[in-house]
Order: sequence, then structure tokens, then C-alpha cells
Amino acid sequence: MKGKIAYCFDLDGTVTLQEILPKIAQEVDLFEEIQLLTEATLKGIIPFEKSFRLRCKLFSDIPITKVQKIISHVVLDADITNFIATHLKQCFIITGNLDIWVAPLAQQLGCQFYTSKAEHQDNKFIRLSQILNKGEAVRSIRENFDYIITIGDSMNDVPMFEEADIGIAYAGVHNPVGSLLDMSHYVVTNGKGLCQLLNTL
Amino acid sequence: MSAIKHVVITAAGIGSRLGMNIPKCLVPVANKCIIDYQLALLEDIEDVRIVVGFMREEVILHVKKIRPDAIFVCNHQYATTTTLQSLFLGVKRLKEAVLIIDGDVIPEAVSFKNFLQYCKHHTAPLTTICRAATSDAVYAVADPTDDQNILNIMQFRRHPATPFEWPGISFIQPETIKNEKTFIYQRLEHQLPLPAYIIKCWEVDTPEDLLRVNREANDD
Repeated sequence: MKGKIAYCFDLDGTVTLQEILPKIAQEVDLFEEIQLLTEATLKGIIPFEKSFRLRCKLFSDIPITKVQKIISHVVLDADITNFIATHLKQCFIITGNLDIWVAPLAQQLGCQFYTSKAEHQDNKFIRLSQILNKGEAVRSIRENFDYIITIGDSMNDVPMFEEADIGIAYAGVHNPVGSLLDMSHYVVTNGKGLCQLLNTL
Repeated sequence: MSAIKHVVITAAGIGSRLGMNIPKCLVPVANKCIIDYQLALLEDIEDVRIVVGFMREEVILHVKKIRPDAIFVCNHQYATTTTLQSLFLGVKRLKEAVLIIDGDVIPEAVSFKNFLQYCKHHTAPLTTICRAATSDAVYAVADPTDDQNILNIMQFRRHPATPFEWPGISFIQPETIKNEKTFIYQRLEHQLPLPAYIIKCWEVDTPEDLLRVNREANDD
């Protein structure tokens, strides 16, 4: 493609080899509850926004620094991390997750993050102030780029794919939802395949 | 000498002539799926693309276990498009010569590897030819050349039969492929005469083909 390309990555289960919220849940003994909620959300049974509000509520008593510490141990895909490092100004992480929680990953990856936002005080989550609309994030990125390539796996990636020129469903961690597959140009099943593809677009 | 970088397998179709209600690439021959044989022969090629449509999830799950870095290209209109249109999506945005293979053919290992070697030393377009065996073949009218492994294809045709058929394996420049509702061999007709490497292979278009291929595989 000729022109400036932006690569917009979903975070959980795309750049990370594990889902982030279940990992936090494991640490605070809420694993089964969060797992059920995550599965239902990935399948599109519960709307992302409702589910995310509920999940934030369940974690609201945990000190932010403790969540950040857990998140900083989440394993990232080596190939994708390397691709981002070599295309820093063109790569964006578009995640519904909270700014205050994913801050360590933003620092580690070094590219720009679009996240949901939370109010906080004394190291505690107070309330959600803005849930990210991934479609809007991509629209704002488009102002500076000619082509948008999006990579994701779940229901809340659909608005992002709707705004993109090329949609790549990522099946490296779990199976992408059918509605996302229906609008994808490509499907890849690991980071190596994804980067191979990105290098030819 | 340059290595073959890309291969595109077209595996989006319903396989209506075979009528098994599974994609032809997943049809078992001697306890292995057709695509398993293909992927084993393509393990040295770094960029493997498979065009999927009909039962895409099943194809993806199966291939993921064997070739996790494969790239799946979606043809959502698989029910109303031709293999040429699937291939158009498969080669889209590629800039170098690409090996193309129909998802319903099992190449014999030795002759296929020899063809890949030949591709490394020669420029695209190149194609393949084999002894006519399938019941619904694309026949080739071909002349001998100085090289005993190569015939020059002068014409493709459905009727009347010739001793040779075209097995759907070629090494071509991606821009050769257009989004037209015809067949791949009709695109290659624009490049005739076309050097064709003689290979051995088994193709499954119809229930009769599958019976014969299974019989021959068991004999081997």
C-alpha cells in the first residue's frame, strides 16, 4: 500500500498472551467469577461496556499499584512486541482496559495507547470516567494516516474493524468471534504469522 | 538462485462436485487430510497463505496445529466466486513471484520438490503438467522441449482429452491474477506457450477421483 500506514492492535489476547483481567482476578481470588464474565463477554453475550463496569467494580478495592504490578508480569508476544518496537510511531494499542491499570504496559511497549479512563484517589479506583469506543479511536488516528490496519479478536473490536481498511482477526490466544471473522480480510494464529503478513501490506 | 518466498493455497470452495460437505483440503486420503500432504511439502517456504471460505473455522483450527504461522485470507463470497477470484485475494499486495496450489491436489513428493528447485533457477511464469487421470480434467496440448522434464503447453482445453492435464500448480507473478469470474487456467492462457514441469500428483474433484486416489495411496 502506498501512503502512511497505522497499525492498531487490541491488547488483551492479541499483544498479550494471556487475558489481563482474569490474571488480576487470580491474584485476588475472584478467578471463576471473572472467567465466566470474560467468556460471556468474548462471546458477545454480555455487552462489553456492562461487563467492564462490573469487572472494574469487582477490582475497585485493590490498590492501583498492586494491579499494575500484576499487569507488568503479563507475558507479551515476542514477535508482535518486536514489530511494535520497530514501528513505534505507526503502532497504537486500542484497549478498553483502564489507563491507570495498563500504564506499565504502555511504558514497556513505548507506543501510543488509547484506553478507557478512570478517576482515582489515594491509590484506589474511584469510578470509570470514560469507556473507550474503539471506532472513535481509529477515526482520530486516521486524521494522520492514509491506511488503517486493525488487529483484534473480540466483540469490542468490531467498531475498530468497521473503521479500518484492513481487518486481521487474531486467533493466537482464543478463537475470534464470528462477527469479527465475517468482516476480516485475514486471520492469523500466532504473532510470527501476523508480523509476516504486516510486513507485506 | 532465489528461494520461493510465498505460496497461496486456494481452499475456499464448497467442493460441490465431490459433495462431501467438507472443504476438499480436509478430505482424508490414507488417513491424512489433503492439506497435510501439501503443508509437509511446503515447510521450507516462509510465507504460506491459505484462502478460506466454506467452513473457514474448521480449516483454520486444523492448519493451526500443523503450521501456526500460516496466513488465512478470507473469501467471504466463496459461494458465488471462482477459484481465480479466491486466488486474486490470496496474491493481493504480494510483490514477488508466488507459488499457487489448488487445495484439492496432492503432489508426489520427489517430482514436486524437483519442480520447486526448478523454480528457484528460472523466472516465473512456470507451470506444471501431469498424466491425465481425473474425471473432469483441464487438458493440456503440449510440445516436447530439449529438457526431458519440461513440456511447452500450447493450449488448455476441456474437450477433447489429451494425454496430459493441468494440476493447478504454478509459479507466477501476482499481477497475472485478475479478479474475473473465470478459471485460473484461463488467466494462464494469456501467457501461452508456457513451460510446464512434469510432475506426478493426485487430484480430487469427484467421488470417482477420491476412490481412485485412495486406492493408489493404499497401493503405495
